[in-house]
Amino acid sequence: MKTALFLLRKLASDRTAALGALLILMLVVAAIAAPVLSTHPGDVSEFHPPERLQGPSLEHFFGTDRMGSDIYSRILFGARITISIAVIAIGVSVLIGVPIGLIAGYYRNWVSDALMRVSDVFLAVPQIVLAIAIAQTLGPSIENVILALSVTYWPFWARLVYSETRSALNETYVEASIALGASPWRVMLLHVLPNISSSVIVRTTIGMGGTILTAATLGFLGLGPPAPTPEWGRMIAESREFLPEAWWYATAPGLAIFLVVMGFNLLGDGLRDILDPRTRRSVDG
Amino acid sequence: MTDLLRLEGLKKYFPILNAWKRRTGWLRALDDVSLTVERGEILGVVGESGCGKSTLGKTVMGIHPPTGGRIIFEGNDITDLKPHESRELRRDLQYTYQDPGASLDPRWKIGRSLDEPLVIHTDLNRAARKERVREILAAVGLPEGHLDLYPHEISGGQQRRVGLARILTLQPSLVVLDEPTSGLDVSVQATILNLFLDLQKQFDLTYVFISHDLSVVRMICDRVAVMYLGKVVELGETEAVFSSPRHPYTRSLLSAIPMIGERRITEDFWLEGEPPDPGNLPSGCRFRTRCPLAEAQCAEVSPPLVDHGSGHADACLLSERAG
Repeated sequence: MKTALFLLRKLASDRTAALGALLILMLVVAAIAAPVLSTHPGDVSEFHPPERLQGPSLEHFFGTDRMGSDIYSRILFGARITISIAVIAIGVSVLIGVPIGLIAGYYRNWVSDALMRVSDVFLAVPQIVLAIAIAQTLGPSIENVILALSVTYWPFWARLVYSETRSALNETYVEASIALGASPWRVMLLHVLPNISSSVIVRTTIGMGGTILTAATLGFLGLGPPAPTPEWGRMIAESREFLPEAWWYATAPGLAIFLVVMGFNLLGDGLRDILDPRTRRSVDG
Repeated sequence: MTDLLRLEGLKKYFPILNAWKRRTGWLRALDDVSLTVERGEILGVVGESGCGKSTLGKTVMGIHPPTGGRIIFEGNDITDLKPHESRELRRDLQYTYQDPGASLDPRWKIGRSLDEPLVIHTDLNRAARKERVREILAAVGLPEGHLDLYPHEISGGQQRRVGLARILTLQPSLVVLDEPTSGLDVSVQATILNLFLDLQKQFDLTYVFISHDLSVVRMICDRVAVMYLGKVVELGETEAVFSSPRHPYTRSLLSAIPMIGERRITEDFWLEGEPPDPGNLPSGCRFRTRCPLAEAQCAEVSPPLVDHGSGHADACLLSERAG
């Protein structure tokens, strides 16, 4: 609780990080309160062909799409999809990657080599290409997007945690704990992991942005959830044939993706500075 | 007197690797070190930086696996213990780090760091552990309020006290003190040294005191071992070694101690420049390249550590002849 308050205060004093946090907060609010905030909640699945491709107005803040649905409302509901894809995919990646990195980093034997070579295989192929291949094979659905992203993202965390663990093992306090008789699990979970957690948190925050971008790319390529799901990438793909006349059609989801990805990146950069333990108590004395 | 710890021909070689990770040689950090530590004594280990003092301490502790030789602690051979067996041993055999600040987890409050050895090695409940931590904190002379501070919030002298408290909670029988006074100002050094002596009486401790500060060693150690490039070159009662050093290296080291009202460097001082590269040692006696007395035979025979009676041993061909 104290730590949370401290974090908030630190965030408030760092302008760019605060902006990032604000953007993410907006995304979360949009996702949770989508039914309340949206002007045409039914338009996620309802079509009004006579009203198609209308420009922005008081009735339709971001105009309407090719089916006559309200783009503003669809973007709010799309935030739910974006968040669930990003949170689940990143969560799975962290749960797979962090333990693998820890174990491979702590032990220096063939198991750790094997684990790292496997993650190297994944890292050798550009992540987006691999994700496309998997999503393509499995067919378009939210679950498959999440699966494709998780399978291709965990090696990043394994790599990061591996190298951080290796350098943490050279720290005197880790050696001291081992000399004191601490078991490998104790050293890994209570000494190494907390001390490398800040870089994991930073990487995870920035990784969120990357995942959202990749998810949107998959959606854009038609590998995401099928129509009429209001997935942002799919919305941009649909808008292409009406450009440049229906400029609002692509602009609104594009802007949403841009702001959310930027939000995660700014927050991640801000957290990097804030989470340095040496500066911890210096503010609240 | 009984031996608490006996080292027999202890060796620790570190491989020297080239850019392709191929071994091109060995760095002999410990080369055939044999000595004993008696229960209740303070054995000083002195020598220049890089002579293997810390490696000696860490190898005894099992932090580095030895390349050869045997370590016998309380009558048991502990050279090749399995990891879980050696974890048990940690209760009795402890090591304090040169930099006590770095040996404390920066994210753990002092109280939690002091609690950890008890969590690992005892079945005490939370309240009993808390009581024990309080006792030990009082024993090293720190206020209770420090339990809630992080390591970077206390001074170097206090960190050293915490480091000592941390290992004393388990009531070990042998403590290896690695440069325990380095980086402390003189008044703090004195209080810390007195603390060591008090705790030794209170907890019945045996110390291996690794230091390059000869005046401190003279003050508190019962016996002293002088190391040069991984070998013990002289070993004996502190007073005997300091008043009548036998090995030319010891003589030279001692003449480097500053004395008030005397010349900083006397005619006995020969140590110029750095010791030879430990990865590429000279043949025979490894001190001969800096020794003014070196003769032809010194290049051929590596002198063994020989006891000339009264427990005062040295490793020099020439002193053998003279003595």
